[in-house]
Amino acid sequence: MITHAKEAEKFNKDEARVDWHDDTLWFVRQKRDRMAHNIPEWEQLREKASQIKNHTLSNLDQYLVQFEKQALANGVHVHWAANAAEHNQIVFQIIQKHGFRKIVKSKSMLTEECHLNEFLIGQGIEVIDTDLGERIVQLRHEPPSHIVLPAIHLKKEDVGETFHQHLGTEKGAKDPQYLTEAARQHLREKFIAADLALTGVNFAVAETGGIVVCTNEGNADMGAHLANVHIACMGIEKIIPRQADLSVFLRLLARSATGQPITTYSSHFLRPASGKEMHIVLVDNGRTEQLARTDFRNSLKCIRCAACFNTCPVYRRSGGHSYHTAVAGPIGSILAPNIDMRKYADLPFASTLCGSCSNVCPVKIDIHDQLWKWRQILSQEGHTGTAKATGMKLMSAVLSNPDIYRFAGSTGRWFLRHVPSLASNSLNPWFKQREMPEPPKESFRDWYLKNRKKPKGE
Amino acid sequence: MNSRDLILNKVRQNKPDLLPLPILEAYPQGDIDLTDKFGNFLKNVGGDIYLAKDVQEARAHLTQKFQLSESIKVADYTDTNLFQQDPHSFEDVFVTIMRGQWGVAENAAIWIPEEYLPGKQRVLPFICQHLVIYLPADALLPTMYEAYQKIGTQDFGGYGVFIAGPSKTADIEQSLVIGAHGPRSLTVYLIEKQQL
Amino acid sequence: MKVGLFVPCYIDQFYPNVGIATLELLEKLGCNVTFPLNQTCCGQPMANSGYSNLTKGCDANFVSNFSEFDYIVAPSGSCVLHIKEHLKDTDHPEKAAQIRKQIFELCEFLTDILKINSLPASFPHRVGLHASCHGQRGLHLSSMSERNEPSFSKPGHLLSMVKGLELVQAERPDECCGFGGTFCVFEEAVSVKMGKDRIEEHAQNQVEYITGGDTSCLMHLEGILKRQQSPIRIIHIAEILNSSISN
Repeated sequence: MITHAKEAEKFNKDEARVDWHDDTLWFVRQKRDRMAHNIPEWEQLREKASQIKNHTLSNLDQYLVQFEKQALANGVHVHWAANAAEHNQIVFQIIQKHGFRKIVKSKSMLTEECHLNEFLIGQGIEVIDTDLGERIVQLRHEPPSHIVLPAIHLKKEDVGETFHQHLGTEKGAKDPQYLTEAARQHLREKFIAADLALTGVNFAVAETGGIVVCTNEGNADMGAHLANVHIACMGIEKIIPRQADLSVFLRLLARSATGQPITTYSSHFLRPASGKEMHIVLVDNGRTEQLARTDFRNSLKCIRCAACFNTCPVYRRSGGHSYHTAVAGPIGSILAPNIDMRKYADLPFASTLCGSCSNVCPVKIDIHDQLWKWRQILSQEGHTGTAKATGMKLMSAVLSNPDIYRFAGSTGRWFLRHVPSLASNSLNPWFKQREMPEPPKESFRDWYLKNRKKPKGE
Repeated sequence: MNSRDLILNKVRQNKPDLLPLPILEAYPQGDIDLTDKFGNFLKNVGGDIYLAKDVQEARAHLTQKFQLSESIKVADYTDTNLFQQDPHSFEDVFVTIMRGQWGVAENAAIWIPEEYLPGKQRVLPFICQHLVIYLPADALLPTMYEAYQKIGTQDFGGYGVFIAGPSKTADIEQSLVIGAHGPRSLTVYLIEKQQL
Repeated sequence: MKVGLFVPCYIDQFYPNVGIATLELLEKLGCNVTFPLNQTCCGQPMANSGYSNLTKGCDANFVSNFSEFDYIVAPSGSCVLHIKEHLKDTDHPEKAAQIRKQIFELCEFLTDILKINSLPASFPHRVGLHASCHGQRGLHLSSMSERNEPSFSKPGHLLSMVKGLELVQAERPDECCGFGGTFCVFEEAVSVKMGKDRIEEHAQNQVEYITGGDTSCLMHLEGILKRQQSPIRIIHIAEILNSSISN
C-alpha cells in the first residue's frame, strides 16, 4: 500500500533535490507574503471570503438551481454528474455526438480527480493538456504534483529532456525561455486543430449563470474561443452568489497562489459566441457527503489556490506525488479521506499540525484542525492499524495512572542509562538520524521532593 | 431519480442552517495616485504604458513601436470586417488593437466587455503576438471592488475579461517567461482626451 | 498568587532542569508555586495520534491535580495548547472549563499576567530562538509571518531583558522544526529533514545556543545536533530567563 511516509522517504533520498524543491516553493510563499502584507485589509478580505463561502454552502441547493436557470437562459447546456464516472460519460457523449477526435484542455483539478484524460484517451480521443506545466507532466505520463504549479517537482533539465524526446528541442537544452517557446509553437498548433475545448471553472456566479476561469498563459481562452464546443467542468462548491463577490475572491486568489496581484486573464464566460456551443457540467463526486460532515464541510470553501501547499513544510520536503491523490498538500489531506478513508488514512498524519496552512488560507479553512479531527475519525474507524492502537492504549494506561507513570518513568530511565541499546537501535526510527536524550538520574518530581518542603499528606 | 435531483436532495439534507451573506464594502486606499499605481503594477506584470493625448498619437506611436506596415496583419477595433470571420483566420494576427473600459490600479487589470473586442472576436486578445489597449485616462479605479461596482450586473455581452499584462508562465522552475500561448507583449495607452 | 506548576511528562523524565528553572524563576518573581505530585501528562500524545478517546484518564487526573490554583503554568506551549483546546471532564465540566482558562505557557504568563519589564538574568551568548508552532500559532506568543498583523514576540521581549544575550533571527522565523509528536517517528525522513533545515539556518547565524519554549521541539533538534556533533547547544528559555539565579 502506498503511504505518504514511504513515498516521502524515497523523495528524501536526494537531499539536494529536496532543498531545491523546498526553496522553490518557499520562494512562492514569500511572494505571497509580500502581496498579503501590502494589502492593509487582507485579513478582512479573508474573513469576507470565508463568510461568502459559508453562506453559499448553507444555501447551496438554491444557488445551484439559480445558476442552472440563468445558464440555461444564457443558452448554455447544463449537466449534472453524481460521480466521476458520470462526469466522464457526459463529456464523452458530447464529444461523440459531434464525432470529434481532438480536444484541448486547460487546467481542471476536477478532471484530474475524475481521471477524465485516461478515460477519453481509452476511447480513442486525443486529449492535449495545454497548461504548460500540465503538458510537461502529461508528456511524461505523470500526474501533476501541485494544483497550481503542476510540474514544480521537475528541474529544467528534466523538462529539456522531455521536450527533446517529444517536441524535438535540442538535446541538453534547458533554458526556460527556449523550452516555453517550443511549447508555445507546439500548443498553438493544437489549439488551431482542436474540435473541442475543455476548461475548469474557478468561480460560477449564481446571479448571472456565468463562469470565471483564471489563467496566466491564456490557454483556456485560446482553446475555448477557437473550438466549436466549450465544456466547463466544475465541482458544485464553485458557486458564488453574486458577480460582485468576485471582487473579493479575485483580490485573494492570485496573491495567495503565486504572489501575483491578479492572474493575467480572468475570463467571464456568460453565453456561447454565435454559432458555438457551451456546456457546463456540475459534479458532486463526494462533495455532498463532505457537506454532511459538520467538522469538515467548510473544506468545500477551498478555491484551489495552493497557498497551503507552498507554506507546508512537509509538502515542500516530500513533494506532491507522495500524497498519491489529485489534490495533494494539506487541503488534499482533508479532502481525500472523505472519498476513501482506507486509501487515504495516512494523509491526515502527513502533517506536524504546525498551523501555517490555516494561516495562509484565503477563505480561512481551519485546515490543521481538520487534520486533527480526521485523525480521530480514522482511528475510531480502525484505519490506523492495530499496532498503533495497542501502543496508544498502553501509553494511555501508563499516563492515566500516576503510580504506573512514575514506575515506568524511573525504570525507563534506569534502562536507558544502563542499557542504552534498548532505545538506541536501528529499529527505533528516532535513533536513525537523531540521538536519544540523555536520561537524567532523577526526574523533576524526585528533585522537587528532595529540594522543596514536602506538601501535606506525602 | 436523475443526478440533478439526487444532488440537490443531498445538498438540502446535508447543508448547515442558513448563514448570512455579508455585505461587500470598499476599503479606503488612502491618498494614492491611480495613474502611478496602475502604471507601476502594469510594468510589474510585464506590460508597457504610455500616455497619449489622443488615439491618433497612440496609433502613430505604436506604428513605430511595432514597425507596422502593409504586410503586417493588424486587428483593429475600428475594422468592421472582422465580425464575420472564422476565429482560426486570426492565427497570423501580429497586433490586436482594442479599447479597455476600466483599469484597476491595485493590479493593472483592464476590463474588456465583449463589445470592445474587435469584431466581437473573443480570440483576438489571445491569439495575436502583441496586444495594444487604449484606456481612457479617467477610467482608472482603485480596486476590484470599484471595478465590479462599475461592471454591475448589466449585460457585458456573452463574454468579458480582465487582462493584466502579457501572457506568461513560470511553470518551468518558477522562471518567469513572457509570452506563453498568448501575446508576447501588452502595451497600454492611457488616452487623455475623452474620445474613446 | 497560587500557581500550580505543570511539568509535562517528558520534561519531568528527561529534562528536569527545565522544570527546576521554571519553578525557581516563578518563585523569584514572587509566585507561590506548588507542584502537584500526582500529575502525569496532558494527553496530547494520544489525541494528536487520533486517540482522543483514550485521554479520559489523563484528563481526569489533570483536573484532580490542578483545580485548586489561581493559575497553572507550564514550560511548554504545546501541552498548554492541548489543555486549552481539549481538556474535558464529564464529571467536573466546570473545573475543566476553569482550568482551560487558567493555564498559561511560561512566557505568556510572564508577559501577560506578571507583566514583567525587567529580569535579573544574564546570559552572554549568541542565541537563536525557535518559535514552536503550538506556542506561536496556537497560543499566539508572537506574530505570525503568514498574517498581516503587527510584529511582536513575547519570548523575544523576555529575552531582550537578559543581560548580554544577543538574539539572532533565523531567516524563516516561524518554520516548523518537524517534531510533530508521533510524526517524528512515523514520518522520520521528513521530520529529520525539517529539523536539519531549522538547525542549518541557526548555524549560518553562528549561534551558540538554540532556545525555545517547547522542550519537545528542542529535544528533536538536540537529537540531530548531537548526531551531527555540532557545537550548538540547546537550552530551554526558562533556563536562560533563570540563568542569573542558577549560575
